Amino acid sequence: MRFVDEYRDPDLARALAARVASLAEPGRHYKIMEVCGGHTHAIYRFGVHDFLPETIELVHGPGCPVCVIPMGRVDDAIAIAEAHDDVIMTCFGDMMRVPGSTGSFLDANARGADIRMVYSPLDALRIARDNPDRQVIFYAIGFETTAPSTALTLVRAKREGITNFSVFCNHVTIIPAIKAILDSPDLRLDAFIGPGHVSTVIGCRPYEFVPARHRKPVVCAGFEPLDVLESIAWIMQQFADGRCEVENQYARVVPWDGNQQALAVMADTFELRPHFEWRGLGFISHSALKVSERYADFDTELRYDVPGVRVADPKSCQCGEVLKGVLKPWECKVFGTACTPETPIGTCMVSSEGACAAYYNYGRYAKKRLHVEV
Amino acid sequence: MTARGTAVDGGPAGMDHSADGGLLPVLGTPPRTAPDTGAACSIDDDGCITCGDVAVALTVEEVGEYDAVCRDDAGRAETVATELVGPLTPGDRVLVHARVALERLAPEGRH
Repeated sequence: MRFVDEYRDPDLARALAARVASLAEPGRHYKIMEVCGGHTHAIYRFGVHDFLPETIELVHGPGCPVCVIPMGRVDDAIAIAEAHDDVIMTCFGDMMRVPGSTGSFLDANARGADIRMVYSPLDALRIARDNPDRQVIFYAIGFETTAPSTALTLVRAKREGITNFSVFCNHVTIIPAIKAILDSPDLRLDAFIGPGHVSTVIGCRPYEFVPARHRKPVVCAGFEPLDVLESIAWIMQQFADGRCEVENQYARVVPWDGNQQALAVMADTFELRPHFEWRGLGFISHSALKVSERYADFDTELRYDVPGVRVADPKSCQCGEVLKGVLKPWECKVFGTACTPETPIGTCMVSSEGACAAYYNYGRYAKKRLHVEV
Repeated sequence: MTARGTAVDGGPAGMDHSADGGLLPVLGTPPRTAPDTGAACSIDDDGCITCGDVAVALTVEEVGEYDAVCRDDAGRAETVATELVGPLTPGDRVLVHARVALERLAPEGRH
């Protein structure tokens, strides 16, 4: 299969793994964070970590769009959906199971709310067209990969004069999260595997502050196993060469300057929020998007009273530490016991990009690496 | 609707690598692809690809004013918004997320 098979070749994987091992300095421990949940998923799914020496530790970052949504924002959406009989709330699949303090969207549906799963915000707009007597809300989540699709949907809604559609915007941006991690006293990192599809939109330049100010390499990576392994090899090569810069391993997809058309549409339809709460990371300045004033007629938060109550995570849940890379999933007290994909307590166990779900689904019987011979 | 990753006796569902395998057992694993046109996002099997910020490469078949019919390598078609990538022609490859084309792909990649 084009663009797939060539990135799953086991012989190439072994060669790359051997190169990584040869570049590792004896006695040095390397901590490399994969920012994106897609990479976390790929690492566990394909067993990439089993190809690495013990001295290279992969730390899972906060780039899972579902995982970083705080419980209060789930409660807000449920409150709107339950208070207004004419509302159809729409959201992506994994969000349906994220627990709020009064249950998930699925629980709210069981109580009588109308919350529907969509694959694209454009599907939510279609539901609005098909139901002119109902108010359709799209519960928007995601990083810069997903924000353009919401932005484009807003443009189409305005162009078509659709008045029964609005967006409850929870889009977040990746750069402030990386800054927050770099400023965190809990964590010492040596390098970053940069997000792949987010970088398709924002490009590679926004990461340049990481090597410039923090002296840590960033390699934007694809999502196939050889992409991840090669990115680690590039990082190790930077260490060996004494270099520290941003590199683009995923150049077959990621333009260095991003997608300017997508960024322009986002700039038209969204504004930065002064603050936004991230699960596990707390409030981060200028880290999230709201619907812009030009599109205020489509802003759910202006159409409806939003409770906006801040809700603390359950005490037993340690998603925050997992999201910051301080804890491994299996080190959480409730991992795999009280918290499973069927009965998630925390968001990291909900989305397949969440470190806990990825680890639970692919590797919970082998906490130690399997040491593939290279 | 079933929960993804359901654990069953004998091992976790969907486990792709094993103690003696590393990458080897996953060869041939189908890539995560978009559902057919009009299908809803699924939380079955391998999770919600839109939530996961997963984008897939599709081939353009028919071009309209704002949309194009595209097909994935498994033969499934979907209608994709194309306003963010400029004019397309049949045969172009595009990276698609949530039914929106995010980037035009170079014919054989940029490598």
